[in-house]
Amino acid sequence: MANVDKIKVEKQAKEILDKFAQALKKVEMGKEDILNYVDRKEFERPENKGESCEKDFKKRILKNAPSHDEDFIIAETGSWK
Amino acid sequence: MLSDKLKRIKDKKLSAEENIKYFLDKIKKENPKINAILHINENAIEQAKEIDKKIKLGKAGKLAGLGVIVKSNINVKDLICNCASKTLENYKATYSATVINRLLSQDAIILGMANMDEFACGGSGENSAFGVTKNPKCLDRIPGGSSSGSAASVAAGFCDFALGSDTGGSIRNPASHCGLVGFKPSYGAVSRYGLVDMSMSLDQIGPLTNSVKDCEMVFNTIKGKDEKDGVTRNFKENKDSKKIIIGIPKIGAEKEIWDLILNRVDEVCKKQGWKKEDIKLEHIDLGIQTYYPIVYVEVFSGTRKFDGRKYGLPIEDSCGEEVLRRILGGKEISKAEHAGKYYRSALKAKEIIKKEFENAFKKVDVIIMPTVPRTPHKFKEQISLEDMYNYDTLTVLANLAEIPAISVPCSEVKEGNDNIPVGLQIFAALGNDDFLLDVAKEFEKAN
Repeated sequence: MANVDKIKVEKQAKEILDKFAQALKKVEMGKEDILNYVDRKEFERPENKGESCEKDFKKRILKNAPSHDEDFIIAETGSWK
Repeated sequence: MLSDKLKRIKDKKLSAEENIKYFLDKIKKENPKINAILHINENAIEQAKEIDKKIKLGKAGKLAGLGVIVKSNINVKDLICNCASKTLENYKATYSATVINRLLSQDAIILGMANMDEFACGGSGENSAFGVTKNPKCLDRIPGGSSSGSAASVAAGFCDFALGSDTGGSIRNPASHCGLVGFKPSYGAVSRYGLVDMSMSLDQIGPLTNSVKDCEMVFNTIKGKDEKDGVTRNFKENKDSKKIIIGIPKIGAEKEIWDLILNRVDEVCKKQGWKKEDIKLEHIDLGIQTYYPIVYVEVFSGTRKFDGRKYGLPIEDSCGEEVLRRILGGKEISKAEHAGKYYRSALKAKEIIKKEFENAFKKVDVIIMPTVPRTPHKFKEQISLEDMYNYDTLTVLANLAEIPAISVPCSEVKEGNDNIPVGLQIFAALGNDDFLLDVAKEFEKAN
Protein backbone atom coordinates (compact mmCIF):
# COMPACT_ATOMS: atom_id res chain seq x y z
CA MET A 1 0.00 0.00 0.00
CA ALA A 2 1.42 3.32 -1.06
CA ASN A 3 2.35 5.95 1.53
CA VAL A 4 -0.21 5.07 4.20
CA ASP A 5 0.96 5.07 7.79
CA LYS A 6 -0.99 2.18 9.36
CA ILE A 7 -0.24 3.19 12.95
CA LYS A 8 -1.39 6.77 12.35
CA VAL A 9 -4.57 5.61 10.59
CA GLU A 10 -5.38 3.12 13.36
CA LYS A 11 -4.91 5.84 15.99
CA GLN A 12 -7.20 8.23 14.07
CA ALA A 13 -9.86 5.53 13.80
CA LYS A 14 -9.75 4.75 17.51
CA GLU A 15 -9.92 8.46 18.43
CA ILE A 16 -12.99 9.15 16.35
CA LEU A 17 -14.74 5.94 17.45
CA ASP A 18 -14.08 6.82 21.10
CA LYS A 19 -15.63 10.21 20.49
CA PHE A 20 -18.71 8.59 18.93
CA ALA A 21 -18.96 6.02 21.76
CA GLN A 22 -18.88 8.89 24.28
CA ALA A 23 -21.80 10.58 22.49
CA LEU A 24 -23.80 7.33 22.45
CA LYS A 25 -23.51 7.01 26.24
CA LYS A 26 -26.38 9.46 26.61
CA VAL A 27 -28.71 7.08 24.75
CA GLU A 28 -30.77 5.13 27.23
CA MET A 29 -32.84 2.25 26.07
CA GLY A 30 -36.07 1.62 27.93
CA LYS A 31 -37.37 -1.85 28.77
CA GLU A 32 -39.92 -1.54 25.99
CA ASP A 33 -37.19 -1.05 23.37
CA ILE A 34 -36.14 -4.67 23.14
CA LEU A 35 -33.88 -5.29 20.19
CA ASN A 36 -35.62 -7.24 17.51
CA TYR A 37 -33.53 -8.14 14.50
CA VAL A 38 -35.69 -10.78 12.84
CA ASP A 39 -39.10 -9.87 11.53
CA ARG A 40 -39.85 -12.69 9.14
CA LYS A 41 -42.39 -15.32 10.09
CA GLU A 42 -41.11 -18.19 8.02
CA PHE A 43 -37.92 -19.71 9.32
CA GLU A 44 -37.56 -22.44 6.78
CA ARG A 45 -37.27 -21.99 3.10
CA PRO A 46 -37.69 -24.76 0.54
CA GLU A 47 -34.43 -25.75 -1.11
CA ASN A 48 -36.04 -26.16 -4.53
CA LYS A 49 -33.84 -27.39 -7.35
CA GLY A 50 -31.33 -24.56 -7.27
CA GLU A 51 -29.75 -23.13 -10.36
CA SER A 52 -27.53 -25.00 -12.73
CA CYS A 53 -24.02 -23.64 -13.08
CA GLU A 54 -23.01 -22.02 -16.36
CA LYS A 55 -20.57 -24.11 -18.39
CA ASP A 56 -17.78 -21.53 -18.43
CA PHE A 57 -18.19 -20.42 -14.80
CA LYS A 58 -15.13 -22.33 -13.59
CA LYS A 59 -13.04 -20.84 -16.40
CA ARG A 60 -14.06 -17.31 -15.38
CA ILE A 61 -13.34 -17.97 -11.69
CA LEU A 62 -9.87 -19.34 -12.48
CA LYS A 63 -9.05 -16.32 -14.63
CA ASN A 64 -9.35 -14.09 -11.53
CA ALA A 65 -7.18 -16.33 -9.36
CA PRO A 66 -3.63 -15.08 -8.75
CA SER A 67 -2.32 -18.64 -8.89
CA HIS A 68 -3.89 -21.88 -10.09
CA ASP A 69 -2.92 -25.34 -11.20
CA GLU A 70 -5.26 -26.62 -13.89
CA ASP A 71 -8.62 -26.89 -12.07
CA PHE A 72 -7.38 -25.86 -8.62
CA ILE A 73 -6.80 -22.44 -7.07
CA ILE A 74 -3.53 -22.42 -5.11
CA ALA A 75 -4.67 -20.65 -1.95
CA GLU A 76 -1.58 -21.14 0.24
CA THR A 77 2.06 -21.21 -0.71
CA GLY A 78 3.47 -22.48 2.57
CA SER A 79 5.04 -19.14 3.42
CA TRP A 80 3.63 -19.32 6.98
CA LYS A 81 5.99 -22.16 7.93
CA MET B 1 -37.48 12.36 -20.00
CA LEU B 2 -36.79 8.70 -20.69
CA SER B 3 -40.41 7.97 -21.60
CA ASP B 4 -40.04 10.39 -24.56
CA LYS B 5 -36.84 8.69 -25.72
CA LEU B 6 -38.40 5.23 -25.35
CA LYS B 7 -41.29 6.38 -27.53
CA ARG B 8 -38.84 7.60 -30.18
CA ILE B 9 -37.05 4.25 -30.07
CA LYS B 10 -40.33 2.34 -30.26
CA ASP B 11 -41.47 4.54 -33.19
CA LYS B 12 -38.11 3.80 -34.89
CA LYS B 13 -37.14 7.48 -34.97
CA LEU B 14 -34.05 6.56 -32.95
CA SER B 15 -32.35 3.17 -32.92
CA ALA B 16 -30.78 1.55 -29.87
CA GLU B 17 -27.51 1.45 -31.80
CA GLU B 18 -27.63 5.22 -32.47
CA ASN B 19 -28.41 5.90 -28.82
CA ILE B 20 -25.54 3.76 -27.54
CA LYS B 21 -23.10 5.03 -30.15
CA TYR B 22 -23.91 8.62 -29.17
CA PHE B 23 -23.09 7.89 -25.51
CA LEU B 24 -19.89 5.98 -26.29
CA ASP B 25 -18.62 8.81 -28.50
CA LYS B 26 -19.44 11.37 -25.83
CA ILE B 27 -17.72 9.28 -23.15
CA LYS B 28 -14.62 8.86 -25.32
CA LYS B 29 -14.45 12.60 -25.91
CA GLU B 30 -15.40 14.00 -22.50
CA ASN B 31 -14.66 11.37 -19.86
CA PRO B 32 -10.93 12.19 -19.63
CA LYS B 33 -11.98 15.57 -18.21
CA ILE B 34 -14.55 14.17 -15.71
CA ASN B 35 -13.10 10.69 -14.91
CA ALA B 36 -16.57 9.32 -14.20
CA ILE B 37 -16.14 6.01 -16.01
CA LEU B 38 -13.48 3.37 -15.42
CA HIS B 39 -14.41 0.71 -17.97
CA ILE B 40 -16.46 0.56 -21.13
CA ASN B 41 -18.52 -2.43 -22.24
CA GLU B 42 -16.81 -3.25 -25.52
CA ASN B 43 -19.84 -5.28 -26.62
CA ALA B 44 -22.40 -2.50 -26.11
CA ILE B 45 -22.84 -1.71 -29.83
CA GLU B 46 -23.30 -5.38 -30.72
CA GLN B 47 -25.82 -5.75 -27.90
CA ALA B 48 -27.67 -2.65 -29.17
CA LYS B 49 -27.90 -4.19 -32.65
CA GLU B 50 -29.54 -7.28 -31.13
CA ILE B 51 -32.01 -5.07 -29.23
CA ASP B 52 -32.86 -3.26 -32.49
CA LYS B 53 -33.77 -6.63 -34.01
CA LYS B 54 -36.09 -7.31 -31.07
CA ILE B 55 -37.66 -3.85 -31.44
CA LYS B 56 -38.38 -4.54 -35.12
CA LEU B 57 -40.11 -7.78 -34.13
CA GLY B 58 -42.09 -5.96 -31.43
CA LYS B 59 -40.58 -8.21 -28.76
CA ALA B 60 -38.41 -5.71 -26.90
CA GLY B 61 -38.59 -4.95 -23.16
CA LYS B 62 -39.72 -1.77 -21.41
CA LEU B 63 -36.25 -0.19 -21.29
CA ALA B 64 -35.20 -1.27 -24.77
CA GLY B 65 -32.20 0.64 -26.08
CA LEU B 66 -31.46 2.73 -22.98
CA GLY B 67 -27.82 3.06 -21.91
CA VAL B 68 -26.86 2.45 -18.28
CA ILE B 69 -23.73 3.19 -16.27
CA VAL B 70 -23.18 0.93 -13.25
CA LYS B 71 -21.25 1.65 -10.06
CA SER B 72 -18.10 -0.48 -9.96
CA ASN B 73 -19.26 -2.43 -6.89
CA ILE B 74 -22.19 -4.07 -8.71
CA ASN B 75 -21.28 -7.23 -10.62
CA VAL B 76 -21.93 -7.23 -14.37
CA LYS B 77 -20.78 -10.51 -15.88
CA ASP B 78 -17.51 -10.19 -17.83
CA LEU B 79 -17.01 -6.52 -16.95
CA ILE B 80 -14.37 -5.26 -14.51
CA CYS B 81 -15.84 -4.90 -11.01
CA ASN B 82 -12.92 -3.37 -9.11
CA CYS B 83 -14.72 -1.20 -6.54
CA ALA B 84 -12.25 1.54 -7.64
CA SER B 85 -9.56 -0.29 -5.68
CA LYS B 86 -6.12 -1.67 -6.50
CA THR B 87 -7.21 -4.69 -4.41
CA LEU B 88 -9.53 -5.84 -7.22
CA GLU B 89 -7.88 -3.97 -10.09
CA ASN B 90 -8.37 -6.59 -12.81
CA TYR B 91 -11.24 -8.55 -11.27
CA LYS B 92 -13.78 -9.60 -13.90
CA ALA B 93 -17.27 -10.33 -12.60
CA THR B 94 -18.15 -14.00 -12.99
CA TYR B 95 -21.90 -13.40 -12.76
CA SER B 96 -24.40 -10.52 -12.86
CA ALA B 97 -26.21 -8.98 -9.90
CA THR B 98 -29.98 -9.43 -9.70
CA VAL B 99 -30.56 -5.73 -10.48
CA ILE B 100 -28.45 -6.10 -13.65
CA ASN B 101 -30.36 -9.19 -14.76
CA ARG B 102 -33.63 -7.32 -14.21
CA LEU B 103 -32.45 -4.37 -16.34
CA LEU B 104 -31.12 -6.68 -19.05
CA SER B 105 -34.41 -8.60 -19.07
CA GLN B 106 -36.03 -5.31 -20.12
CA ASP B 107 -33.37 -4.79 -22.81
CA ALA B 108 -31.41 -1.98 -21.22
CA ILE B 109 -27.76 -1.90 -22.32
CA ILE B 110 -24.82 -1.62 -19.93
CA LEU B 111 -22.45 1.06 -21.24
CA GLY B 112 -19.75 0.68 -18.61
CA MET B 113 -18.60 0.78 -15.01
CA ALA B 114 -18.40 3.97 -12.99
CA ASN B 115 -15.71 5.44 -10.79
CA MET B 116 -16.52 5.61 -7.06
CA ASP B 117 -14.99 6.05 -3.64
CA GLU B 118 -12.96 2.90 -3.01
CA PHE B 119 -15.21 0.07 -1.72
CA ALA B 120 -17.91 2.80 -1.25
CA CYS B 121 -15.91 4.26 1.66
CA GLY B 122 -16.19 8.02 1.28
CA GLY B 123 -18.59 10.81 0.51
CA SER B 124 -16.64 13.00 -1.88
CA GLY B 125 -15.44 10.99 -4.89
CA GLU B 126 -11.84 11.69 -3.88
CA ASN B 127 -11.08 8.21 -2.52
CA SER B 128 -10.79 6.27 -5.78
CA ALA B 129 -7.54 4.45 -6.54
CA PHE B 130 -8.03 5.58 -10.15
CA GLY B 131 -8.25 9.32 -9.58
CA VAL B 132 -10.91 11.76 -8.43
CA THR B 133 -14.18 12.23 -10.30
CA LYS B 134 -15.05 15.83 -11.12
CA ASN B 135 -18.44 17.43 -10.70
CA PRO B 136 -19.79 18.26 -14.19
CA LYS B 137 -21.79 21.13 -12.68
CA CYS B 138 -18.75 22.77 -11.00
CA LEU B 139 -15.50 21.23 -12.22
CA ASP B 140 -13.34 22.40 -9.33
CA ARG B 141 -15.64 20.92 -6.67
CA ILE B 142 -16.28 17.38 -5.48
CA PRO B 143 -19.24 15.55 -7.05
CA GLY B 144 -20.06 13.82 -3.75
CA GLY B 145 -19.90 10.10 -3.17
CA SER B 146 -19.53 7.35 -2.91
CA SER B 147 -21.49 6.89 -6.17
CA SER B 148 -19.44 9.74 -7.63
CA GLY B 149 -18.95 8.33 -11.12
CA SER B 150 -22.59 7.22 -11.42
CA ALA B 151 -23.81 10.74 -10.57
CA ALA B 152 -21.22 12.49 -12.73
CA SER B 153 -22.11 10.19 -15.66
CA VAL B 154 -25.77 11.21 -15.55
CA ALA B 155 -24.93 14.89 -15.01
CA ALA B 156 -22.45 14.86 -17.92
CA GLY B 157 -24.93 13.16 -20.25
CA PHE B 158 -22.89 9.95 -20.60
CA CYS B 159 -25.92 7.66 -20.13
CA ASP B 160 -29.70 7.55 -19.77
CA PHE B 161 -29.48 6.60 -16.09
CA ALA B 162 -27.06 5.08 -13.61
CA LEU B 163 -27.11 2.67 -10.71
CA GLY B 164 -25.44 3.43 -7.40
CA SER B 165 -25.39 2.00 -3.91
CA ASP B 166 -26.38 3.93 -0.78
CA THR B 167 -25.19 2.90 2.68
CA GLY B 168 -25.32 6.31 4.36
CA GLY B 169 -26.21 8.67 1.51
CA SER B 170 -23.96 7.49 -1.32
CA ILE B 171 -26.69 7.94 -3.93
CA ARG B 172 -28.44 11.03 -2.50
CA ASN B 173 -25.32 13.00 -1.61
CA PRO B 174 -23.80 13.03 -5.15
CA ALA B 175 -27.29 13.50 -6.62
CA SER B 176 -27.60 16.67 -4.54
CA HIS B 177 -24.17 18.02 -5.52
CA CYS B 178 -24.66 17.21 -9.22
CA GLY B 179 -28.27 18.48 -9.52
CA LEU B 180 -29.92 15.07 -10.05
CA VAL B 181 -32.57 12.80 -8.62
CA GLY B 182 -31.11 10.08 -6.37
CA PHE B 183 -33.23 7.46 -4.65
CA LYS B 184 -32.48 5.08 -1.79
CA PRO B 185 -35.34 2.57 -1.63
CA SER B 186 -36.66 0.99 1.58
CA TYR B 187 -34.31 -1.59 3.09
CA GLY B 188 -35.39 -4.85 1.46
CA ALA B 189 -37.13 -3.31 -1.55
CA VAL B 190 -34.26 -4.00 -3.97
CA SER B 191 -31.99 -7.06 -4.05
CA ARG B 192 -28.31 -6.62 -3.18
CA TYR B 193 -27.30 -10.00 -4.62
CA GLY B 194 -24.18 -9.25 -6.63
CA LEU B 195 -23.35 -6.03 -4.77
CA VAL B 196 -19.89 -5.97 -3.17
CA ASP B 197 -21.10 -5.10 0.30
CA MET B 198 -19.83 -2.24 2.42
CA SER B 199 -22.20 -2.63 5.35
CA MET B 200 -24.86 -5.26 4.71
CA SER B 201 -27.28 -4.06 7.38
CA LEU B 202 -27.47 -0.63 5.68
CA ASP B 203 -26.62 -1.07 1.96
CA GLN B 204 -29.22 -0.46 -0.75
CA ILE B 205 -28.99 -0.23 -4.54
CA GLY B 206 -30.89 2.56 -6.27
CA PRO B 207 -31.09 4.77 -9.37
CA LEU B 208 -29.60 8.16 -10.26
CA THR B 209 -31.64 9.91 -12.93
CA ASN B 210 -32.56 13.25 -14.46
CA SER B 211 -36.19 13.13 -13.29
CA VAL B 212 -38.41 11.47 -10.70
CA LYS B 213 -40.41 9.77 -13.44
CA ASP B 214 -37.22 8.19 -14.83
CA CYS B 215 -36.32 7.12 -11.31
CA GLU B 216 -39.72 5.48 -10.88
CA MET B 217 -39.31 3.59 -14.15
CA VAL B 218 -35.93 2.17 -13.10
CA PHE B 219 -37.10 1.39 -9.57
CA ASN B 220 -40.14 -0.50 -10.86
CA THR B 221 -37.78 -2.64 -12.96
CA ILE B 222 -35.27 -3.52 -10.25
CA LYS B 223 -37.47 -3.82 -7.14
CA GLY B 224 -39.06 -6.91 -5.62
CA LYS B 225 -38.35 -10.05 -3.68
CA ASP B 226 -35.28 -12.05 -4.63
CA GLU B 227 -34.55 -15.47 -3.15
CA LYS B 228 -30.86 -14.65 -3.34
CA ASP B 229 -31.13 -11.73 -0.89
CA GLY B 230 -32.92 -12.86 2.27
CA VAL B 231 -33.98 -9.37 3.38
CA THR B 232 -35.92 -8.58 0.20
CA ARG B 233 -39.70 -8.50 0.16
CA ASN B 234 -42.59 -7.08 -1.82
CA PHE B 235 -43.98 -4.16 0.16
CA LYS B 236 -47.71 -3.52 0.13
CA GLU B 237 -48.39 0.22 0.21
CA ASN B 238 -51.47 1.81 1.71
CA LYS B 239 -50.80 5.51 1.29
CA ASP B 240 -52.35 7.98 -1.12
CA SER B 241 -51.03 11.43 -1.78
CA LYS B 242 -54.08 13.68 -1.42
CA LYS B 243 -53.84 15.45 1.95
CA ILE B 244 -50.28 15.48 3.03
CA ILE B 245 -48.68 16.65 6.26
CA ILE B 246 -44.99 17.41 5.93
CA GLY B 247 -42.83 17.09 9.03
CA ILE B 248 -39.90 19.47 9.43
CA PRO B 249 -37.34 18.36 12.04
CA LYS B 250 -34.83 20.58 13.77
CA ILE B 251 -31.38 19.56 12.56
CA GLY B 252 -28.24 21.48 11.67
CA ALA B 253 -27.40 22.64 8.15
CA GLU B 254 -26.14 25.88 6.59
CA LYS B 255 -28.80 28.58 6.97
CA GLU B 256 -28.85 29.46 3.27
CA ILE B 257 -29.56 25.82 2.39
CA TRP B 258 -32.30 25.43 5.03
CA ASP B 259 -33.94 28.67 3.81
CA LEU B 260 -34.08 27.36 0.24
CA ILE B 261 -35.65 24.09 1.45
CA LEU B 262 -38.26 25.80 3.64
CA ASN B 263 -39.20 28.24 0.87
CA ARG B 264 -39.75 25.33 -1.48
CA VAL B 265 -41.84 23.47 1.11
CA ASP B 266 -44.01 26.58 1.64
CA GLU B 267 -44.41 27.00 -2.11
CA VAL B 268 -45.51 23.40 -2.66
CA CYS B 269 -47.79 23.39 0.41
CA LYS B 270 -49.53 26.51 -0.86
CA LYS B 271 -50.01 25.08 -4.34
CA GLN B 272 -51.14 21.61 -3.21
CA GLY B 273 -53.05 22.54 -0.06
CA TRP B 274 -50.68 20.46 2.04
CA LYS B 275 -49.70 21.23 5.65
CA LYS B 276 -46.31 21.72 7.29
CA GLU B 277 -45.56 20.84 10.92
CA ASP B 278 -42.44 21.12 13.05
CA ILE B 279 -41.53 17.76 14.54
CA LYS B 280 -39.17 16.69 17.27
CA LEU B 281 -36.94 13.65 16.79
CA GLU B 282 -34.89 13.43 19.95
CA HIS B 283 -31.94 11.39 18.73
CA ILE B 284 -31.48 12.47 15.12
CA ASP B 285 -28.39 14.45 16.01
CA LEU B 286 -26.74 11.10 16.84
CA GLY B 287 -26.95 9.74 13.30
CA ILE B 288 -23.23 9.95 12.53
CA GLN B 289 -22.19 8.60 15.94
CA THR B 290 -24.53 5.65 15.43
CA TYR B 291 -23.74 5.02 11.79
CA TYR B 292 -19.94 4.87 11.78
CA PRO B 293 -19.33 2.23 14.49
CA ILE B 294 -21.76 -0.07 12.65
CA VAL B 295 -20.09 0.62 9.31
CA TYR B 296 -16.54 0.18 10.66
CA VAL B 297 -17.35 -3.24 12.11
CA GLU B 298 -19.21 -4.40 9.02
CA VAL B 299 -16.45 -3.17 6.68
CA PHE B 300 -13.92 -5.14 8.73
CA SER B 301 -16.12 -8.22 8.66
CA GLY B 302 -17.09 -7.91 4.98
CA THR B 303 -13.55 -7.41 3.71
CA ARG B 304 -12.11 -10.61 5.28
CA LYS B 305 -12.72 -12.32 1.94
CA PHE B 306 -10.17 -10.03 0.24
CA ASP B 307 -7.17 -12.04 1.40
CA GLY B 308 -5.57 -12.31 -2.04
CA ARG B 309 -6.05 -16.08 -2.29
CA LYS B 310 -8.90 -16.56 -4.76
CA TYR B 311 -8.62 -13.19 -6.50
CA GLY B 312 -7.03 -9.77 -6.18
CA LEU B 313 -4.52 -8.64 -3.56
CA PRO B 314 -4.67 -8.75 0.26
CA ILE B 315 -6.76 -5.68 1.08
CA GLU B 316 -4.73 -4.29 3.99
CA ASP B 317 -1.67 -4.15 1.71
CA SER B 318 -3.37 -2.58 -1.29
CA CYS B 319 -6.25 -0.30 -0.21
CA GLY B 320 -6.36 3.43 0.40
CA GLU B 321 -6.41 5.31 3.69
CA GLU B 322 -10.17 5.54 4.32
CA VAL B 323 -10.78 1.83 3.67
CA LEU B 324 -7.85 0.94 5.92
CA ARG B 325 -9.15 3.26 8.65
CA ARG B 326 -12.49 1.45 8.67
CA ILE B 327 -10.86 -2.00 8.63
CA LEU B 328 -8.44 -1.25 11.46
CA GLY B 329 -11.08 0.64 13.48
CA GLY B 330 -13.62 -2.14 12.99
CA LYS B 331 -11.07 -4.78 13.95
CA GLU B 332 -10.27 -2.94 17.16
CA ILE B 333 -13.82 -2.19 18.38
CA SER B 334 -15.14 -5.66 17.62
CA LYS B 335 -12.69 -7.24 20.08
CA ALA B 336 -14.31 -9.08 22.98
CA GLU B 337 -12.73 -6.73 25.50
CA HIS B 338 -14.80 -3.83 24.08
CA ALA B 339 -18.09 -5.78 24.08
CA GLY B 340 -21.07 -3.46 24.46
CA LYS B 341 -19.13 -0.22 24.21
CA TYR B 342 -19.16 0.52 20.50
CA TYR B 343 -21.06 -1.77 18.13
CA ARG B 344 -23.76 -2.88 20.55
CA SER B 345 -24.38 0.72 21.70
CA ALA B 346 -24.65 1.79 18.08
CA LEU B 347 -27.14 -1.01 17.33
CA LYS B 348 -29.26 0.13 20.29
CA ALA B 349 -29.16 3.73 19.09
CA LYS B 350 -30.13 2.54 15.60
CA GLU B 351 -33.23 0.85 17.01
CA ILE B 352 -34.18 4.01 18.90
CA ILE B 353 -33.77 6.21 15.81
CA LYS B 354 -35.81 3.73 13.78
CA LYS B 355 -38.61 3.81 16.39
CA GLU B 356 -38.57 7.61 16.50
CA PHE B 357 -39.14 7.72 12.76
CA GLU B 358 -41.91 5.08 12.99
CA ASN B 359 -43.66 7.22 15.61
CA ALA B 360 -43.16 10.39 13.57
CA PHE B 361 -44.81 8.76 10.56
CA LYS B 362 -47.94 8.18 12.66
CA LYS B 363 -48.35 11.99 12.73
CA VAL B 364 -46.88 13.14 9.41
CA ASP B 365 -46.77 11.61 5.93
CA VAL B 366 -43.30 12.68 4.86
CA ILE B 367 -40.31 14.36 6.50
CA ILE B 368 -38.27 16.94 4.63
CA MET B 369 -34.80 18.37 5.19
CA PRO B 370 -31.77 19.25 3.06
CA THR B 371 -29.89 16.31 1.54
CA VAL B 372 -26.47 17.62 2.52
CA PRO B 373 -25.88 20.22 5.25
CA ARG B 374 -23.28 22.19 3.30
CA THR B 375 -22.06 22.97 -0.20
CA PRO B 376 -19.40 20.67 -1.72
CA HIS B 377 -15.79 21.65 -1.03
CA LYS B 378 -13.18 22.39 -3.65
CA PHE B 379 -10.54 19.80 -4.57
CA LYS B 380 -7.38 19.95 -2.47
CA GLU B 381 -9.23 21.93 0.22
CA GLN B 382 -8.08 20.73 3.66
CA ILE B 383 -11.00 19.13 5.46
CA SER B 384 -10.94 17.24 8.76
CA LEU B 385 -12.08 13.63 9.07
CA GLU B 386 -14.99 14.68 11.27
CA ASP B 387 -16.11 17.39 8.81
CA MET B 388 -15.90 14.83 6.02
CA TYR B 389 -18.12 12.42 7.96
CA ASN B 390 -20.54 15.25 8.73
CA TYR B 391 -21.49 15.46 5.04
CA ASP B 392 -23.56 12.34 5.82
CA THR B 393 -25.38 13.82 8.86
CA LEU B 394 -28.76 14.11 7.13
CA THR B 395 -28.61 11.10 4.85
CA VAL B 396 -27.53 8.34 7.26
CA LEU B 397 -30.85 8.70 9.10
CA ALA B 398 -32.80 6.95 6.34
CA ASN B 399 -30.36 4.02 6.29
CA LEU B 400 -30.50 3.67 10.07
CA ALA B 401 -34.31 3.83 10.04
CA GLU B 402 -34.43 1.55 6.94
CA ILE B 403 -36.89 3.94 5.27
CA PRO B 404 -36.99 5.19 1.65
CA ALA B 405 -35.45 8.58 0.90
CA ILE B 406 -34.98 10.67 -2.20
CA SER B 407 -33.00 13.75 -3.14
CA VAL B 408 -34.55 16.05 -5.76
CA PRO B 409 -32.99 19.23 -7.13
CA CYS B 410 -34.27 22.24 -5.19
CA SER B 411 -32.23 25.28 -6.11
CA GLU B 412 -28.69 26.61 -6.45
CA VAL B 413 -26.32 28.48 -4.17
CA LYS B 414 -23.95 30.99 -5.73
CA GLU B 415 -20.38 30.86 -4.44
CA GLY B 416 -17.87 32.87 -6.47
CA ASN B 417 -18.38 31.89 -10.10
CA ASP B 418 -20.05 28.58 -9.18
CA ASN B 419 -23.77 27.90 -9.18
CA ILE B 420 -23.87 24.91 -6.85
CA PRO B 421 -26.91 22.61 -6.95
CA VAL B 422 -28.78 22.03 -3.67
CA GLY B 423 -30.90 18.93 -3.10
CA LEU B 424 -34.09 18.60 -1.08
CA GLN B 425 -34.45 15.31 0.76
CA ILE B 426 -37.77 13.58 1.42
CA PHE B 427 -38.29 10.61 3.76
CA ALA B 428 -41.38 8.36 3.92
CA ALA B 429 -42.33 5.41 6.11
CA LEU B 430 -40.86 1.95 5.44
CA GLY B 431 -42.34 0.43 2.29
CA ASN B 432 -44.01 3.64 1.08
CA ASP B 433 -41.58 4.03 -1.82
CA ASP B 434 -44.18 4.69 -4.52
CA PHE B 435 -45.92 7.25 -2.32
CA LEU B 436 -42.57 8.97 -1.75
CA LEU B 437 -41.95 9.15 -5.49
CA ASP B 438 -45.40 10.72 -6.01
CA VAL B 439 -44.64 13.41 -3.43
CA ALA B 440 -41.20 13.99 -4.98
CA LYS B 441 -42.83 14.66 -8.37
CA GLU B 442 -44.63 17.68 -6.91
CA PHE B 443 -41.38 19.10 -5.55
CA GLU B 444 -39.68 18.48 -8.88
CA LYS B 445 -42.43 20.40 -10.72
CA ALA B 446 -41.82 23.40 -8.49
CA ASN B 447 -38.13 23.56 -9.40
